[in-house]
Amino acid sequence: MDNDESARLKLPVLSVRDLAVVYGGRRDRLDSTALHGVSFDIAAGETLALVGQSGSGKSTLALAAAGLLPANGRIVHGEVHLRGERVTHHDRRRWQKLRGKVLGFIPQDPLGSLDPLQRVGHQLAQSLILHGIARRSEAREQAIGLFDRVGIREPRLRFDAYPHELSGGQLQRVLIAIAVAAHPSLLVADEPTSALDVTVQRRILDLIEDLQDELSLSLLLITHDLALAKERSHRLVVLNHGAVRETGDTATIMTAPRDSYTVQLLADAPALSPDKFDTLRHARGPLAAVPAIEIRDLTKTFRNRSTAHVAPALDKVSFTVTRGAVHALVGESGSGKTTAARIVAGLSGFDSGSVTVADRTLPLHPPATNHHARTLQLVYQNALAALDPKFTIAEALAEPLRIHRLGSAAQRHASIRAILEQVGLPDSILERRPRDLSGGQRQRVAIARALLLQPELLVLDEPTSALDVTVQARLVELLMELKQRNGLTYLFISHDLSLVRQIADEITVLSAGKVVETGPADRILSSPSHPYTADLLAAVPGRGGFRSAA
Amino acid sequence: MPAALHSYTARRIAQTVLVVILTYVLVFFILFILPGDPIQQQIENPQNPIPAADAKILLQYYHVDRSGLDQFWIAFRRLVQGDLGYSLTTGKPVASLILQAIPQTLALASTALVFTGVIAFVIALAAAFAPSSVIRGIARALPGAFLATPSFLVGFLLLQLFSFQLGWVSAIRDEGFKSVILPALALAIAVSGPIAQVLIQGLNRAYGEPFVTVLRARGLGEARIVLGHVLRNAAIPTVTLLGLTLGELLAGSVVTETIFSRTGIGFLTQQAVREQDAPVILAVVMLVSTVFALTVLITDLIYPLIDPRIAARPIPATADQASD
Repeated sequence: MDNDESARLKLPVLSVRDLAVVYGGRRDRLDSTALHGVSFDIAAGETLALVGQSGSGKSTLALAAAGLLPANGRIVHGEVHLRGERVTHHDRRRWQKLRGKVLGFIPQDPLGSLDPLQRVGHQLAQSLILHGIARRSEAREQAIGLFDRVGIREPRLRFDAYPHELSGGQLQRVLIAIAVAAHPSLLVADEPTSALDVTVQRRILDLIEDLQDELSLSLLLITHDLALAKERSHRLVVLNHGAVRETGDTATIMTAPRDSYTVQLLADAPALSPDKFDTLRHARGPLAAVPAIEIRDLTKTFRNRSTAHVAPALDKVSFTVTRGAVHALVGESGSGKTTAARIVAGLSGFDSGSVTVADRTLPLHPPATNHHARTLQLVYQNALAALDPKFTIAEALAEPLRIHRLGSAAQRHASIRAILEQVGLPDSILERRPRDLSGGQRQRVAIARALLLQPELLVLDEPTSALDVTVQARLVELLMELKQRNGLTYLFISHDLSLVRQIADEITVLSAGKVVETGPADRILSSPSHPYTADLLAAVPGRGGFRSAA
Repeated sequence: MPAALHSYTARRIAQTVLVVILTYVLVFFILFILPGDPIQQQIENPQNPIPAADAKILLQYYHVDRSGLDQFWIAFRRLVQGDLGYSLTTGKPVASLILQAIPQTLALASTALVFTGVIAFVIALAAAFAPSSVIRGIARALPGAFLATPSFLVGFLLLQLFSFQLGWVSAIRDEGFKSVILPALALAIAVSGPIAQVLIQGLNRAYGEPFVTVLRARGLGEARIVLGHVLRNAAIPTVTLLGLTLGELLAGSVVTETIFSRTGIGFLTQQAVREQDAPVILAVVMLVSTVFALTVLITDLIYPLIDPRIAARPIPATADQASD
């Protein structure tokens, strides 16, 4: 018995051999291979990071390893062993015995991952009872203890809360508590922090690391963020198009990548190449101190009519955007970034203060038609939501020209073709609809549409945060190129400080509707004067060293 | 949270009372005040002339000589005292006509509602989760088929089979609960289609939510996932529809009551409309509107019990309320 147990401990916790997964019905011939020939092991207590772009198969791999593949996905080749048990073709019933007890799962989106109609404490207690960890009578106390352990504030009070009453970070803690409730040996975490703010992200990852040490857990960490993998994993598997490109020690791969794809990924991660655009900036020389946007004491309050609750969204905000600069507006969710952007774009009103955009003072209440559309354009985070799904790309691009009655049909056509070339899209795209394009292509269309009116200013609201590293890198390169060619000024809203460090000339840091700090990027990044800025900077992954071996 | 729930409840009750009162005002003015006096017409009806003495009593009772507003206040005061007036064709008090019809309709409606719930639930569960794709396909096709089949046809088929062929229940005599089953089934088949359809959609949507994957990863069995979590998440639109259906059933079904020779609200409505018996029509419309307003109120009050987010939900964000 003892021998068995020690032999079992020496086995990898998870072993994947030559795994191939296919999506599609058995009868239709349009099967799509999501994974082919993937192999790796995870030892006890080890963290293995699975990195790759969306569509690389990393989530499929996580689901296959956890027996959670959707009904149309199946393993066609290879083996999966979980703590020495062959689970490759386990049915639902046999998997059910392993779930929770051997394997815990932390999902990507904490907001949608708990039953919205049940109290969070009950959901944890349910797991404790289900796995025989606690009797019905003691489940509540145990659950409260576990909530306390994962850092939920006022656990006794939170036990009776519903998911919508907690923040994303707190919900992710609940999900972590549920995942470790029955003492599994392996945690599978699918982008566990990509929906969270950086400071929250760091605290959640710290918590997972602590629990790992405490419970000698192994971790399969799926992420698109190389900087995060660098900091948090012992070993790395780089996936692309369903195949392993490189695997090995994290430090070795990061310092001396051998595969061309890995090299590309590393170059595209903003956190790992902060000085990418420095030459461009030096070539341009210093900017003349001419303001493009000037904001003084801007205040805006949201009132909830039913509860008479008053929430200040912006509180005496002042900053200046220099003409020709990339001015980054950074802050966590709820800091007021988007509200400020909408006011600058003339889409929403404000209570007091003054906003001057390209020598035009904005009124308190924006007129129904946006008069400064030709000076300033807004590019949204979600290009799919910003484009009418029923319009072809040609129609979407022609619309701003039609509204402003610019040029004849032939001239419009010519300027659309010219702009497409600038944003690097082929003409063939014109007859397609937004849904038929990739995320990167859609965002290029949105940028093209914004540029058609030849504005001086672009307000970019998290334009790349929904995109993969590589796609993001290409889009940022495009934006920098367009800026130089057309002499544009950018107000760039972002929560991603590593990206901001790469491109920004000036930075304004917002927190809870107030300006914490504003000024030249170099100064703020090298010597932040406010603790909040310092905290934000410290939370950016990739700045620390490698994780030592387990 | 309880405070939010209380103000929600109070607001909804006030709205319900208002809807019922406004309906009464509107219907009263349409029936009695607009040109084409129903009482005078009834008195002068060549097929069924009312004796002069009776006519005088009627005219006095309804105060036709007074202004529209006065007539309304008189009728409204009587309504509050429980006096609904008299039928213009039979001379019986409207209140007693309604009270006679209600038990018939109530028995039919409640039985039909139970059948509807069971039929819709079984079809939806089969359509969403049956292991065999053939059964799922059949279950998915049923709601459309039910909806496309007229209820008189279903009624005739049921009568043919159970009354005339098998002789299990009389087609004419009232045999208590036994007589309710066939018409209730005919009604249930007609109204369960949309409910099943909405429940199928709800189940499929809820089953695709990420929390289902997490529940599975926690080691819960499929039955517990579906019955304990997915069903409740899918229920809200179905409850809305079920409430409206209950209102519809309580309003009485003219066709089904006629086929199965039952003298419920549907039958009363049909007679009153044919004879242009305005006081009865007014009473029936009031009954139906009250029933509808109440069922909608009850379903609205059930929502927060199913979904705690509903009572706590603030006014929906306006367009200029950005969130980042």
